[in-house]
Amino acid sequence: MEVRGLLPERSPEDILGYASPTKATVELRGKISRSLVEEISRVKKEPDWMRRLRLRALELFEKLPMPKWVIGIEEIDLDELAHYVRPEVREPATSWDELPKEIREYYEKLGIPELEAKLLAGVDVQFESETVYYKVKEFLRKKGVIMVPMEEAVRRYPDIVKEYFARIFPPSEHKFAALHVALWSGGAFVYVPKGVKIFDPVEAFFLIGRSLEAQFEHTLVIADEGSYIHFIEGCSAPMLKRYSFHDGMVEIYAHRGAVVKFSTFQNWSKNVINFNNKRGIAEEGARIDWIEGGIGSKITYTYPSTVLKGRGASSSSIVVQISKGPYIKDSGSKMIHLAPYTRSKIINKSISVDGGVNIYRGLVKVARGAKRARAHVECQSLILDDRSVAYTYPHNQVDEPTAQVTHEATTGRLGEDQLFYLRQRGLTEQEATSLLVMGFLEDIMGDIPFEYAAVLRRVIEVEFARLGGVG
Amino acid sequence: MSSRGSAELVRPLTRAELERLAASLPYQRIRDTPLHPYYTNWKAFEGAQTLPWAPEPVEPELPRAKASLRLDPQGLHVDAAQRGLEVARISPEDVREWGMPVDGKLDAVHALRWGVGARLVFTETPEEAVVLEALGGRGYSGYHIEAQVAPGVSGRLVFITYTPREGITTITLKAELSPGAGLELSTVNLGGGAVYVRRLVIVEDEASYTSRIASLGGVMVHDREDVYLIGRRAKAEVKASLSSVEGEKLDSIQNIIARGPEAEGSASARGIVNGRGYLVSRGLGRVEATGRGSKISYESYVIVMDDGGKGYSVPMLEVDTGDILDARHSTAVLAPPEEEVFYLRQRGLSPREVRYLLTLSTLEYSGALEASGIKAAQLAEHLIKSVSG
Repeated sequence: MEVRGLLPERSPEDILGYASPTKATVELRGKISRSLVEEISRVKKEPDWMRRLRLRALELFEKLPMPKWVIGIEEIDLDELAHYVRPEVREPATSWDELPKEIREYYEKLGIPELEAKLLAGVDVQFESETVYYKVKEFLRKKGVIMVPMEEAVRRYPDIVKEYFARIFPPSEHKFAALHVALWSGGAFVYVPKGVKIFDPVEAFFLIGRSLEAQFEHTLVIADEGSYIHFIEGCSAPMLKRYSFHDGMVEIYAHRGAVVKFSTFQNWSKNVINFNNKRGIAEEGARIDWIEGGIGSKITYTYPSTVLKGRGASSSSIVVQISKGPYIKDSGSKMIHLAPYTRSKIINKSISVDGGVNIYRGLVKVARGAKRARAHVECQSLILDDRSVAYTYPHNQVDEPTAQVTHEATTGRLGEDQLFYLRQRGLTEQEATSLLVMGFLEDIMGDIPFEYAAVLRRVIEVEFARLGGVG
Repeated sequence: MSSRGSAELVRPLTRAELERLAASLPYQRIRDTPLHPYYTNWKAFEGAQTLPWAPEPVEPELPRAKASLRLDPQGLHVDAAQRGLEVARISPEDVREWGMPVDGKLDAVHALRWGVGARLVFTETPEEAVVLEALGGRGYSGYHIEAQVAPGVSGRLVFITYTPREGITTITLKAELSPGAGLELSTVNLGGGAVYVRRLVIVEDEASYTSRIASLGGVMVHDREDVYLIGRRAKAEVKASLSSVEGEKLDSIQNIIARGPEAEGSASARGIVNGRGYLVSRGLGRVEATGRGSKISYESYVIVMDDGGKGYSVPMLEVDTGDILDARHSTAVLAPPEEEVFYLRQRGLSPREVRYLLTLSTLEYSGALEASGIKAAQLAEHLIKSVSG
């Protein structure tokens, strides 16, 4: 399906402009405390078990130290942020016309309604802290697929939520995971029944609408035995006067033989500090594939990880990060092999330009007993000028003598001979550079859904064209 | 002789500053990974502050090249003068300010506690390699060595160290290569007890450094080499043979940092884990913003032979400029290669003989043992003795 023209091919600042003032019916700002957490729980009318879970996470947040390896977050003053903002939408709409004009316009500019109509089986759209629109196509319902806002799942399916929520990615893991669980709001819940395969993707789209706002959406995907689902996550923000903070979480559970594809297309505006917590568990013969394209944001921290728990489980993580300008992309993947015959592959490609910083942090762990596990990691970094940098920090830990873990990485610049070859054939320097940059990414594009690869390709072209160096 | 490199890299610290750091610094500031927080078991070194100074050295049982210089808990012993080499004893009193990096508690403790040292200056290219032994004893031993190579001179140094299981030894070695100089350093770390070795090598314009390392595990062996290519067209080649057997731990680190333009550095390591050994092979290749036109690579290959063995690899790259020739790394941690094992078994070798050959080839890889006069075959036999099958 050709979606070029449907999806935005420009930066979020170009598309969305400055943030328009939007009304909020509830805004909880200030010091992170027990009363703030209880107030969030109260306004969301949550059951008591969720309130207690939040409070336990808050205790952890207060106890856990600030991670020392996290760089560039000095700007964040958590106590000055609005931790919960309820937009002026009474219940999630099921028609775009029901949304306030200023909110609807954002999504129209981003092309979400058209995308929904032509490509998606279901969509959940979040503005600030709450889902403002969601709709699931009828055939999904008929097959028993549940796709609802996370809050609704807490109310309607408490037993399932209790079993998985904050258990795949426990809040004890680090300070920002604990903060997320204490303050979460929004996000989508998806359950795919046994044997049901949904080939049209579903999408959740998150938008931050104001400065000094914190967004903590929580996505939980449960794929029952032998099922298939492709979940796409998109995020964006207009131009903000000051920074905003995103601390989302994605949890995936792929039961025996299930396949979950999870694709993220991150295009936050340039003053969003973006922290992600993503983890999946794959049971016997199950597969989880992460795809991540990161273009926007001031700083991004994202490390999709899979615990390969069942025999023969597999996972891949394909990450493309572009850091253009004085921005940081701190990304990587983790693969934890716990069972025999598990397989994993990590491919990370980054481009740093105009003072951009790209950092890869990866971990492959093969536990004792994960007989004949195989893992391969590939990192390629391209640095386009003298002011930009790329760092690679992979850790390969093998406790099983029949396992095989291989890793290779290169960091380089555009080949002068290649540039010369193209210039000699009549291409301008910009055209030649653009072609080589796209060539660098091309082999990875094959692993991204065709429609999104086309858009990602175009967004990159446009991004680099604005710099004057590429495109 | 030039020492601009040292001053450029390390801010010298006074004794008062070191005391403050020894009291306040942790062994390691940032955890290595969430699942395995510290690759070095720092607990093994906790006695470094309090353990009494070792009364006498303990010799390793392996035959080796005759050492012309020996550091042991009783002092520096010079067997014979060598042409082209100036040797001087140094003691903590001679070092008013500490010029080695202090990244953690153990660095500071070592700087305060080391007791025996030597300064070597290669003034002419010697005919034979200088063999220097540093032996630990049952207790704490701390040594500091400084080596300088004059412009245009090529030095050859073999450095052998051993500590018994009951001992803790900390060693620092700083080597500075003047412009146009060469140094071939063969380090044989026979492990044993808790051994912390830190080498800092500074390579100036057009100088060339070759490092051959053979490092074995022990109660906990942390063997780290940082090579700074600070001069234009400075070169370094580092090769390491690593082994850990039943009950031993080894954390081996080779870092090459290209600071000068058009520098060229490569590091490669081969490791083998027999029995329930633990081996970490780490390396950093860094091209700094001033290292324009540089080329850097790191490669590591670790074989884990048995159930319960642990083999970790951590190859890191930091590139601060787009103006580089090449920066790459590759690593593998894996079981004994099936095809090689099959080939050997097909020719009648028993599993034990295959193990022996894989261990031997790993030990021979760097060439450090050959330079030290230690027979790799004998060492391989000795190492696999503790492993059944």
